[in-house]
Amino acid sequence: MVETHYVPFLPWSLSWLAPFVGALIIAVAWMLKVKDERVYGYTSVLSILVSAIVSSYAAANVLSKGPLYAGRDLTWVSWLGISLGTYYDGLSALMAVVVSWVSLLIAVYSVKYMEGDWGYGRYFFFFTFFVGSMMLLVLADNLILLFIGWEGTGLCSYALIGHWYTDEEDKWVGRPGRRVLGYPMYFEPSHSGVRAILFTRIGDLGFLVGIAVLYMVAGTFNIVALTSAAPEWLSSLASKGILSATLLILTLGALAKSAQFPFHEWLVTAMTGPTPISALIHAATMVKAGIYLFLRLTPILLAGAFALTTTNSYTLVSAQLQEYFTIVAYIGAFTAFMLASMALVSDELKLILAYSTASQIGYMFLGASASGLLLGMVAEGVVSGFSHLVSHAIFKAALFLVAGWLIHVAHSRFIDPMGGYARHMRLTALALWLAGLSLAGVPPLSGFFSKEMVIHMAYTADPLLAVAAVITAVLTAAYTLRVVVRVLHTPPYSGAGKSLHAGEAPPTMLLPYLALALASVAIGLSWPTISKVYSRMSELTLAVGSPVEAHVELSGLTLVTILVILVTVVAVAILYSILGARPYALAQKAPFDKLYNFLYDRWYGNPIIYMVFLGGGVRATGFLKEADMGIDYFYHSLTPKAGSLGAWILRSLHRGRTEYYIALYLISVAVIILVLLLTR
Amino acid sequence: MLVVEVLLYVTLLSSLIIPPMASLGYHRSRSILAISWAGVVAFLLAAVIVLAYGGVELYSGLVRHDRFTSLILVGAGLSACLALLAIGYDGYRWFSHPAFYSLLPLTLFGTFYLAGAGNVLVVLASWLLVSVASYVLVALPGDSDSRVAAVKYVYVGAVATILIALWASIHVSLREGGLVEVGMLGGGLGEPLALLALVSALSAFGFKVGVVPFHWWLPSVYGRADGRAIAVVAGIAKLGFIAFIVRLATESFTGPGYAPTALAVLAVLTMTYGNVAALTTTDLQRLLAYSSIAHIGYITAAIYVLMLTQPGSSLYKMALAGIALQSIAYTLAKTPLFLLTSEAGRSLESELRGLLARDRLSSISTATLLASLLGIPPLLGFWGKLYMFIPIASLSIVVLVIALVNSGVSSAYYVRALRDITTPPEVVVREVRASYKAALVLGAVATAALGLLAPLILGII
Amino acid sequence: MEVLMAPVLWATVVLPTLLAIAFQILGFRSRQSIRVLAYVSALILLAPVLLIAYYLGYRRVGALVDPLVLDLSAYNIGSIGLVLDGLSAPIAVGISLVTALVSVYNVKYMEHRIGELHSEGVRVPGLNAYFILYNAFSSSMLGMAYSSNLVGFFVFLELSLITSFLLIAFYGYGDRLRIALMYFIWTHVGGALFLAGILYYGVNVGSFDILVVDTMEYNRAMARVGIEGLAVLAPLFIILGLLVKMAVFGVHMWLPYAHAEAPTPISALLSPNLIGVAGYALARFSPTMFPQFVADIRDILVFLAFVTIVYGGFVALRENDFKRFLAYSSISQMGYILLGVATLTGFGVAGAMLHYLSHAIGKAVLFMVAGVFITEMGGLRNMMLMGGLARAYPTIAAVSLIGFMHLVGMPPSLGMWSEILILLGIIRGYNPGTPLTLITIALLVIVAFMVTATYSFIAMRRIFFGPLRQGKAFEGGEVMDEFKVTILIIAVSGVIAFLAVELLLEPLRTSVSPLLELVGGG
Repeated sequence: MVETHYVPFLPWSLSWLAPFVGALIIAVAWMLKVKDERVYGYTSVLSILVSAIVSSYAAANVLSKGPLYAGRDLTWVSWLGISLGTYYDGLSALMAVVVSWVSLLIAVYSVKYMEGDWGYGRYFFFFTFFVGSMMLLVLADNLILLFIGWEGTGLCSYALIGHWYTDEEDKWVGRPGRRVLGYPMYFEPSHSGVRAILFTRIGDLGFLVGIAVLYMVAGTFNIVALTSAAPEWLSSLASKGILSATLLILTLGALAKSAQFPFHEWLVTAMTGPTPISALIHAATMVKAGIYLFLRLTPILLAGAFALTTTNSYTLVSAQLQEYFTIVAYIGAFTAFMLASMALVSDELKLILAYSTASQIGYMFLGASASGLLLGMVAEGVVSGFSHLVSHAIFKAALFLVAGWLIHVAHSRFIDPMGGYARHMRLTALALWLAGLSLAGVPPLSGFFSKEMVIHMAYTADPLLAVAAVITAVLTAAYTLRVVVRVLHTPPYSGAGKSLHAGEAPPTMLLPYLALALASVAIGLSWPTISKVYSRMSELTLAVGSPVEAHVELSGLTLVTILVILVTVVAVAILYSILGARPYALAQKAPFDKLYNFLYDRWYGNPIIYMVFLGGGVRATGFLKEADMGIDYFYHSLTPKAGSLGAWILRSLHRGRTEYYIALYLISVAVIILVLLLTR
Repeated sequence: MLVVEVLLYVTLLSSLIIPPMASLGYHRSRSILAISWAGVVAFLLAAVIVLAYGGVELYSGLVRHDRFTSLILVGAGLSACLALLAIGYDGYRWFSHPAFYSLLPLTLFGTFYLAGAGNVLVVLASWLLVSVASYVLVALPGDSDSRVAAVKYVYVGAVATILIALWASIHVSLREGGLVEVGMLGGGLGEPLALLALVSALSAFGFKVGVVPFHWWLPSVYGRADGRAIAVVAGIAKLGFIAFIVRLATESFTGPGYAPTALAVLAVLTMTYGNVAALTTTDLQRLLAYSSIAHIGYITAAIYVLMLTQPGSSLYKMALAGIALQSIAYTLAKTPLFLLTSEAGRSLESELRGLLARDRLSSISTATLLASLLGIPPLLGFWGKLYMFIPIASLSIVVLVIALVNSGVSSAYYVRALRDITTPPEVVVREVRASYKAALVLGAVATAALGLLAPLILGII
Repeated sequence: MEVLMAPVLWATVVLPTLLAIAFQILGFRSRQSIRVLAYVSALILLAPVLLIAYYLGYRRVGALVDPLVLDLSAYNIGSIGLVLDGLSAPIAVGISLVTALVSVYNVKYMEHRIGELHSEGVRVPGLNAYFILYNAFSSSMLGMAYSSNLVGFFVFLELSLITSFLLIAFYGYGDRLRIALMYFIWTHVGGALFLAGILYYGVNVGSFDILVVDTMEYNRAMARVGIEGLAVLAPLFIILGLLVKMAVFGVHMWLPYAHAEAPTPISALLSPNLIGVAGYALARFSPTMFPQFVADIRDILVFLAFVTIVYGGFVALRENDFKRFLAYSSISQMGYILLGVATLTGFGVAGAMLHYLSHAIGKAVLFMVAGVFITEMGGLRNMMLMGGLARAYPTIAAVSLIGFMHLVGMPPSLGMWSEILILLGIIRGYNPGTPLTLITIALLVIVAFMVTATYSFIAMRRIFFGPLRQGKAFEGGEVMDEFKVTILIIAVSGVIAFLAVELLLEPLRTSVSPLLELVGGG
């Protein structure tokens, strides 16, 4: 184990603090109703730049010297043992670098993209806060701090997805008017925002319950302390039989944030936000939070289990851990396949990319959980998940930023009015091609290597998972190429006139996505070097502590995968661009229309969820409202009536004449004497 | 205590001097009111002196006052002042004009002896004095309602008088050696005779103050007669009877047995009856009549505690203080409120509605007095209830809960009355004249001031 | 535990009312002098926040005690005095913060309301009289938080009731007199039950002091009067009374009327502050006074708490009136406080107390926001007619979001800490030992907390987002006058409290742990 270096809170915590400070400045400016847009944009870019520089410097230090730990003694809440600690180890340091730099590029892009928007100040407040939250989440040394960042991303995604909250139709997602089983399949921004926060909050609460249980068993929220105490709390939980349940409840948070089945629905409608936000959510922050947490957790669990190998509780622990990892692995594989199949037929540019995000994150879960299934190869699992995370962050950010420009040019979020853009914007086309091929997993781009590692891990753990992964890879190649070719090289299907004004994006928008696309190539080309960095990273990561063993040989599986992907890529490209195929015609006919609609309507997931939860909820509220009226009736109608009746009865005893009073009086006296005599 | 005696004779004199004066042709003279005032003030002074000295024995023990009874006397004196202040020359218009000014001091005089009576004969004499004064007072205003009420009162009251006489004779016969001091009865309460004494005293007392099931006459008399007369009968004369029954309960009927239980049952019945019956009435005078029953219920519950608690213990003292404070709160609130109903009208839905809008001072005072009756801190009524309920708590949680729930239920009608006072008026109604307003305001101020002092004066009993 | 004499507690309770009475008597009735009154009252009311932050939070004094004590121990009542310790600190902060800022908020709102009533032809007491009642109401709530004696507590409780009753009856909306009546009667019935319990308990144990419970005397009393009276009936009545005051499910009938139809500044005090005090009382009394009983009925209380959370939240979802919606949300929030207390663990009780504060902040903000629409948009309360208001009121939308975050428990709002602590309390209290219990707890927690999130964010959308429904008249840009700045200050204090939670949490920890020794929590 490499020695941890304790460093002061500042400047090392600036990596997450700086964006928060930036957000605070923006908020104050907004409150003071500052009109100048530059104040907001530049503050945001600058604060994120500070964060990026600090985290890069920290990462360099980590890679050369070992983990850094800042602010360990800066107690915040002593009862719960929570400090404002910033913990840089291999995983978190590299993650911080990726998050901050990708966010920075998106921020630069946004400055131009959001120009003239009526919510400019608000946009940059939440944007900056978003980045700060994500950095905090990544670098937090304890689970509560992590949770705060976690919730911060949820809040900001809510605000930014619903940024255009006045709900004009051109800001919607889905085809207006389309309904399935009576439930609309189109969403206004304000609706999507609510969906995003509610869907993810289910997971967040699970996460909270999970860490509460951990705290009760381990007595700490500190991640480092949890790691060293892992054998005890693992065996304690396992002996009660609640280890896998606890972990699953805890992982609900990660699954919801990372839009894994059945929580994927929030992500696909999150497209109502401004496009840079889609890039931010999908590439650098938010959805990466879940998988990051999973990558953080997996080695801790496995290291804890290893430490128990010689003890009696090992069987219990390992059995329950495998149970847990199996579930996660299958969820990941299933999500990857499911969302890729939806992407095949979608006709909204951002929606296709969104499906692809959830699908690709499924890969990451698959890669990391494979090591859990194996109860070994921890470093490989973490590195496969993480490297795919990095590749995905870069190419997906590029794709979304390009999409933002294309949608702007086409005045439409659908791909049908787009087409033939390659002639008008060569550099954009280049970026789209490179990023797209990386997504498709074509060598030698970065996406290829990372996906290859995941498939390899999956194969080692469970061949069935590998089959699912390969099929998904083929689907991925197909839908990616469909988009790239149709948008860049075939004529538009409808509304052709509009594209005539098409041209390159302004430089501050073009450069970010071009840089990202090129980075995708660069990482791929320098893979031997990069993989050494990853190996070093895993060595420096908490609870991993060992380098990745080299997998240089081209296995049969790899060759097959490369082959099918290449065939798909070439076939789709030829099909669309040269043969001019129009599968829409096919989709109109039975039996394909059923399949088409099934996929287009997202496997009916949304209507089912709405029917059960929304419909059930509406019915429940209706019922309770009635019950409430009943309770009200009881208290405010029946009770007073009973009182009035009583009063009437008692008062009507006094409607008599004097003799009657005397009689009553004497009878009362007699009765009392009698009673007293008898009960004496 | 010569001073006290002299002051009392002044009271007596003032009441005796008025009828001859009137018959000598001075019945229009303003001096009648002044003489009556002199009697009332003399009584109040006497009461305050007794209170200040911490007790007094007159006529070699025939009349004994301690701090408890003297507190009650002070309350009666204060209310009498309020009544006289409010009524002023109004009584001059009544048919048998000077009677009111004479009977008020006379009632007080009788109350002094009744409250302090240590002797059966004194009890009988003062009982009759106060009773007769009350009967006449009810009839005084001379309208048909008052006359009907007076007839009922006298008719039923005759039975009660027989009962108190019965008590007196049994008491005398059962005291060893035929002593006439109020005290323990020979043979204990197991004797049928002793039991008869208990029931007759209780039912006579119950008649006077309205303990269920001896209360039958009360709603129709309190609820129908002129409020000015009822202010004296219900507000002032009652206090002497309360003091009497407390003495009897503590000195004659003490000790465990069925008597306390019987009292507790009656208390519970009384408070529940009063509160439930008052629930829907929209007639303030009727409301006050029923709420009087409810208040006697609480007091009876406290008397039940006295019977079972060690004399001299802190709980005993607290119960005594509670009864005293509650009686004062009761009289300070009831007297001005009954006066108000005679002055401004009794219907909460028409005549009294919107009092706030036309007369803020009266309405705030009225609200304060109603709140005191309900037992809202820091008014006097709260402390009275609290000091009564705390000792009750030490004995029986059942009685306590019933009492408190009753108190909670009573908020319904008190607050409804408050609501009506603050509702905008629909009809133009009578104004509250300055003298009646003064009684209300002074009553409210006294209630509030004594309420603030109450936690401090607990120690004097 | 270090105790500091602080001869200021009575002053903070008495001064504001005296001040308002003085203004009334001296006849200072101009708009300017009313504003002076509002600001000076606010300053006095705010004093406890500073006292707590400095002495309890920073200097770590165990408790502040006012030397002015009414000693009635000779009569078994104990001494009626005022004390401020860690447990009551969040309560006092909540009351003090909200009442102080609403005091300033009052001026514009009540001018509007009284004017409205006058134009309807209703004569009501003017602003000055309003401030007498308002200040008396505010300080009686402070008195409850300070009380070291059950009798004192009850006196302040009654005072707060009568003043709030009058405020509703005079200045409320709708059928205000009927509603005021209803409010008074039901809370009085609750009060009667509560009083029955405390009297029985106090008399038998020999003292009404809350802070010191003589265990020996308690056991002796238990032997004397029997288990069922002292350890079952008395606690039962106390708890029933407090539950009525808290308006938990089943006895919540009075709350939606009272809190919706009260004048909005009063709603902002009633809803979070007054009803929550019953939760504080539960936490203060139950573990020391009748540990066995609460331990026995813990499951029932926890279940009731969950039902209340879900029920209040679901019914709130159906409400279209903004203020009624908030009222039902308060019922739901009381469920959280009950939940925390009922776990009988240090974490749970501390979480409940913190939740009192965070609910005070959040709900006060939201009611004050409702008041903004009522005053500035022609009495707009119907959420069906709202929508897109964020365009007209961006800052108000922002503070509302912070308000809702306090209810939901999202950082950076204090609500997060209370949520976490309550959750830790549940887990510690129930210590799940099988997958089934764990999953049940998780499901209950997720459902309960999700209900809150659901109604919060749906309401946020209904009110502020979507197309603007109320015409273009309000696009002139919002004016941040003192009326709205007060809301902003409360909201920001919630964020500050989130950051500085240590100042409240450490005192809570020290006072909670001895409290819970008797029930075996801690």
